[in-house]
Amino acid sequence: MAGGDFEAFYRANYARLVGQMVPVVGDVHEAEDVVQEAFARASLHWSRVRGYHAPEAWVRRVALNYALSGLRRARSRRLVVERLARPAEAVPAASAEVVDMVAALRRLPLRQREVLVLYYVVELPVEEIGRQLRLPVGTVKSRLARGRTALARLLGADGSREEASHA
Amino acid sequence: MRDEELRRRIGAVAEHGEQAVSPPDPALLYRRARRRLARLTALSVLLACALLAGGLAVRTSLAGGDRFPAVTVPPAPQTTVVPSPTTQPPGTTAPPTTRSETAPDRFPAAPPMVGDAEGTVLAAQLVTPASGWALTTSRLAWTGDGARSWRTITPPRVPVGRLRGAFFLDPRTGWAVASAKDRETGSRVQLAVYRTGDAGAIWRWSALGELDLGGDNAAGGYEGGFGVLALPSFVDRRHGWVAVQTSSDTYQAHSFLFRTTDGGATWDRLPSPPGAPQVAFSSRTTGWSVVQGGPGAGGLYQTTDAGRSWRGVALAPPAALRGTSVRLREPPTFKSRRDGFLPVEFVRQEGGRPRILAAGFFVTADGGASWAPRYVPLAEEDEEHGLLPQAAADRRTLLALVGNGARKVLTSRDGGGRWSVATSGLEGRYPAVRGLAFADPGTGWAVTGRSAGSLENGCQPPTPQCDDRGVLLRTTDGGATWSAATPGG
Repeated sequence: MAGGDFEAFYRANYARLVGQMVPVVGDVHEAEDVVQEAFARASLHWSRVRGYHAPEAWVRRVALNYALSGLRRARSRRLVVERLARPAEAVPAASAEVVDMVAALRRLPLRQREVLVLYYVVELPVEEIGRQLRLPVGTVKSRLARGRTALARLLGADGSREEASHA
Repeated sequence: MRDEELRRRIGAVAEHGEQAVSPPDPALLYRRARRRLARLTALSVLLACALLAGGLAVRTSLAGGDRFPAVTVPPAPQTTVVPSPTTQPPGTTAPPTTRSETAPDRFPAAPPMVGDAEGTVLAAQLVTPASGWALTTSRLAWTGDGARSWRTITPPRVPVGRLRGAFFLDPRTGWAVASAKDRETGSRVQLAVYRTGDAGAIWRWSALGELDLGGDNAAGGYEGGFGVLALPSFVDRRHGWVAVQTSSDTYQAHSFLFRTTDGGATWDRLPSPPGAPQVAFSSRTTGWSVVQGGPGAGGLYQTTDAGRSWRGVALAPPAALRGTSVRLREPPTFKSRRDGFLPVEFVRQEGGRPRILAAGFFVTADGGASWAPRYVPLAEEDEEHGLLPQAAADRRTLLALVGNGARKVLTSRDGGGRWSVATSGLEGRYPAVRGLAFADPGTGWAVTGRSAGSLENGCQPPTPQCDDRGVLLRTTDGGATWSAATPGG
């Protein structure tokens, strides 16, 4: 199993990767779940993963796979409890703007959320997103465009929620 | 909404998450990793081997409609298991096969292979050199032209995600097991067996019953795939078994074994064999079960009464490998009533970790009365950290994929005496080869996946060339070259 340099890597990247997963899964605890699972997997294969050009990208990709595979939804309450001693109330309250954005993101397909996060949060170019997700660049662009359009509709041009317009 | 505004607002969500957490103690992470490791070795590898002994499933177009009848399975009879002899004779013997038993009608080219539970191809079976089936995330598909084209044979009204195992005896006769649920939850599991005698045109079904997990909750969908494996295995059109294993949220495996003598119309519950679901039958009365591991931790078991009782079979390493332990992971494959091949690794602990010194088969030519080792020594660089995919093409042709990324194919054409080595062309393309099957010395299938056991090998995404989606490959030149064969759709 992994040693000291893994732990340094883990401590340096954990919170950032959880943050990147929150817009994808829509929940801090679920984001922690998939990121922890990805780091657990990385610890098993650290001798190999550490040699990659970007180990963080590998962990993020694994976490995204878990998020998209529905792993977290299949987890039993046992694993929720195992989420390592951080009660729900420990998460600080989010601003109204964050809450609105999370709600809007949740209405998008997971595949669109994934691309939006890699583009807007991780700030990868579309070519790199395509390489990491093994998607044609055209597919990445179309998912980005659809995601943008959907978010604009859901949040309204001025950033407010759409609910009134559909009332 | 402008791009900058969108970037700011999604970024605010990420920033909120980042500030809300701090890394838990790595010790807890390692505990989680160990559980994952244990699960992969105890379940994933079991799964990969299990379908090698069993099969896959489907639904119905006839009788019954969509609902399974609620039939409670009676408690299992008492299991009788006689352990392996503690001393291992140099020539390994087992109780002779009952001579009065009726020979099976035929054997498929190879038993089913289980793929990555999160892959595109979940399982596949090479039934003849030209035909076989593959269970994907979207359908149960059949090929009759060497995996070049496929037709759907998924039973009507059964969501493909409910299939838990399948087996075809020949291109027309097959069975499949389906669950009543898409994902297993709760402490009761309802299964039904579907059977076809016309290549999947019509499926009939019967209830296997409701399995009681004794208060544990089935953990279906964990790791994204099989929470319940239900593996059919038939020796002729009437005599067959279904071995069931469920995972649970307490990591307790629950095993069940059922037998039919009427082609699957009715089922009787038998005692759970010691190595369920890794069970294979070579005749109507003789079967084999493998408990994974080396001496003291695992071994080969035999039944001569159709699964009512089991007796341990001693297996000794050859003299040249004295001091190694015998590691088994799947039951033997029988190419005929007499010719069986039991994959084995000869392992020695070196520096606190197991080193695979040689791999090969215990081979029988007398229906399992005696087993002789046939093996090839492995260079350290060829040692795999997970499964070593091995297959027998016929009585004389044995194959194994070795080396990081299954980059080499070792072939013996004299029954395991001499071995040649060639490159497979698989290196760097797939994280692992989980299953290997050959119908003749040239024609083979392989199922890939993300993991093949305790450690992954081969490649890891996001390497651009690395495909970790779990696919089906075929070869027509004895494993020298492989091409994609995954059914579309």
